[in-house]
Amino acid sequence: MNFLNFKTRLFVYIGMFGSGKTELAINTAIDLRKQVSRVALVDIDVISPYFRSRDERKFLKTKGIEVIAPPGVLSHADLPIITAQMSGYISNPDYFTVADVGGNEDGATVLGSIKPFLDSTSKSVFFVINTLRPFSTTLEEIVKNIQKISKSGKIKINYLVCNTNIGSETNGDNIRKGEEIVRKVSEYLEIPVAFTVVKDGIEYSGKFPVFKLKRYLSNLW
Amino acid sequence: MKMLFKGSEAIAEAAIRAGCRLYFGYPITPQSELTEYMSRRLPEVDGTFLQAESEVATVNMMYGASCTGKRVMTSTSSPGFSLMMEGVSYMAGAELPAVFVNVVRGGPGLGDIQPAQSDYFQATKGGGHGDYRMIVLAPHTIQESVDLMNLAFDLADKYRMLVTILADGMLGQMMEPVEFPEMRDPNGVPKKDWALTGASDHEPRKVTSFNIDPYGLEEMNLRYQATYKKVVENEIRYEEVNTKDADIIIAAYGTMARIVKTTIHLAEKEGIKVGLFRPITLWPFPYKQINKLADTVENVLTVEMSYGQMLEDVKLGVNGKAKTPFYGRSGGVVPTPTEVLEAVKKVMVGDLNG
Amino acid sequence: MDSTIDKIIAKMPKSLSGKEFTYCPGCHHGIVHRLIAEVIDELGIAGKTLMVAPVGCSVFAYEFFDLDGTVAPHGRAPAVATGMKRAMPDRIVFTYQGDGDLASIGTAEIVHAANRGENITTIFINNAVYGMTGGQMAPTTLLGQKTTTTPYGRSAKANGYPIRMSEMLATLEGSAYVERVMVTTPQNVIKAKRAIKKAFEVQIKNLGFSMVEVLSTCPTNWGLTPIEAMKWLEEKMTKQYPLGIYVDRTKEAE
Repeated sequence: MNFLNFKTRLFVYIGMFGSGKTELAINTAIDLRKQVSRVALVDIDVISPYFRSRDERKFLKTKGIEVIAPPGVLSHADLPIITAQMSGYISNPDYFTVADVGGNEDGATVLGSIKPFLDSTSKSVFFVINTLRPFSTTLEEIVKNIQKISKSGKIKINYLVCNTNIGSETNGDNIRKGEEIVRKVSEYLEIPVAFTVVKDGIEYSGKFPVFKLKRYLSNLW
Repeated sequence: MKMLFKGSEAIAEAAIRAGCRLYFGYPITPQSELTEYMSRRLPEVDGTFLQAESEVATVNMMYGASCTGKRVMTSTSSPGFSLMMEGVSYMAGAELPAVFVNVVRGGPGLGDIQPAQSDYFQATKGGGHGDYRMIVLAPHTIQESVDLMNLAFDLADKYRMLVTILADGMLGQMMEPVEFPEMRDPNGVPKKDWALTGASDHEPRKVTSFNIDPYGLEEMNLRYQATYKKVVENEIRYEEVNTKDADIIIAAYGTMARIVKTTIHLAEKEGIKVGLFRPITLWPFPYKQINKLADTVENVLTVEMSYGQMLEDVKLGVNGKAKTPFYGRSGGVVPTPTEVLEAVKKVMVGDLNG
Repeated sequence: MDSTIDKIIAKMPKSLSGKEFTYCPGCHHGIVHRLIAEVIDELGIAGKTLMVAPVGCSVFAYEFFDLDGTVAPHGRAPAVATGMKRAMPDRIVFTYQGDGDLASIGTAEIVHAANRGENITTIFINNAVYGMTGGQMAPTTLLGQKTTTTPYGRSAKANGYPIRMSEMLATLEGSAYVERVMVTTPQNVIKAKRAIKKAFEVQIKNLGFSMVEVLSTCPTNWGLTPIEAMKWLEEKMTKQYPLGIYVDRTKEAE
């Protein structure tokens, strides 16, 4: 699976809270950087207090990726901060940009404030689904989530991503069941599935292209 | 079936499974996910979610709800818990059961939103006025948080006491696979013969923390003390890891204990045998148990995300039988397993004394 | 019952416990307690009514009623009542609060309970002074009125103005019924009872928040005889706190 095949230079990840957007955004940026020279990761998660892309800023810099987030000490402030720089990178044609958006409708709302920049650029919007997360386990729930988030972010969703997992204990059976639900959602909403995320170390092949994910956001232990 | 849950969401779901249908709360980082989860989930199970105008109102709504004998809870983070202290004292005095979740963040004052353990004193030694105690449970994994939630409600009802789950921002925010117990019937919880439900089938009942007569109030206090004694006798919980023949014992709870478990492995590779003593009940504190362990080592190192709060209880428990050095960081800085290992080495060479 | 009595024209309401009141001679708490008890009896709701007493002179009020009851922390009665009502929506819950409790330390709780349209009833005793703690200034103390903490008289510059709670709460859409009354004459007592009954009926019909403010005397702390105190209430207090219905949204709500 190659991200360049999506023929876009702006990757927007949205989805429910805790669906795995940040980890996926970091992985996408690193994967892209292996193929192109200018990659930026824009952290527009205004609702999570911990485990955000900005927390990996130093590490990503070593990988040649620019992380765009509130500067310095403000990045730990309990404030929803969106800087002008963010919209700059989103519309800059010299960059491949990955946007990591906060979860749920609340997290997606912020997209409305940068809508002109998003509209002026070619982009692919990915809705990330983990069917082993609360409020995301059935076709009905997921469809409702997609409709709500799409509405609050004033944004059309181009692809679904199957990211079914329970962290370290995930097995192939979990993923297979997840793909089955995501397939139903895809048929119902007529939105194609871009790929299935499989954590490095799990052997899996299923209905959709597989993206091998490496875990970068780790606990201290 | 295992699912992937954030700590704060898991605690919320566990409370519902424990038969709690009443949640009052006020948003505060880093636990707002718990409040939001409840606002979404409680209506699905015919429960009541109410966002109060403040933490002061929250705790008093809990007081009122608990008077009716139903299971009730709130969640908050440090500054919010401080605001609740008035109601905590009144509820303790009125012997009203309820469960509090404090997802501790850096303090004092406004502090920051990063994980900390600096509310240990407030939770275990009072915080509100008067001679009261609260049962304090300190989970160190998300699964344990879920399991302790059931226990929290049962203990609260059994002893007519307040129970606090003392978590921290890390436990609240991280995600882990978790399995939930079966849903308990909220009407199946034990009936309370003291609850205010309307005096149609009983003599009028009064629930208060009030007695103007000093001898009367003393009598009430003696009753509280008798309850607390029972809790001390029956409800102490703790975990020991690797303590047999250990070179050194570390005392730590919550997230800090989780980190120490990694330190144990790091130390093993360097030929040091580190044992962990992890209190699960911070009140009642396992004094006797740690005292026994102190016979087997030269040092009991206390490690905290605060500056020597649990250390005082460790010292009371160890009672001079071993040295009691301390390592901690605060303000939201979380010690890494390697830093803890460094502290262990310093203790062993005599550079860090207690 | 004594068979020689053939007509009972007055008796103790069933909802009073019969415990001797702790109130001073000429204080109006006793009258208001009785009115509440009569209303509860007449509405037949004693078996499902929960009372929340305040901190203040009426801190023992829960003892005087033959009802299930509690005492809230100072000012928090509306929050406690909210918790009860949300836990048991089919019960009748009322708070009984003084001016320090409701109009000073508990302003946030009363404003938000009213604003939520919390389906509870509040009886608010306004006597322009802190009774329990010994005659200090209340938020409702009149300008120029001397208290133990305004020995030179309340000045607007130093202490602000006497606060009008009924007027304020009436602006909130959650308030279904708010009326201010007094109990200085038999006629006023009848009116006050009518207001209290209406407030409880509002709750029974699930129409939202209801409150009756009762202007009351405090002969002890005012340093007046009961008769002088009533005169002072009628002459001075009603100027700052006019009687009347401040909001009645019951028709719209029904």
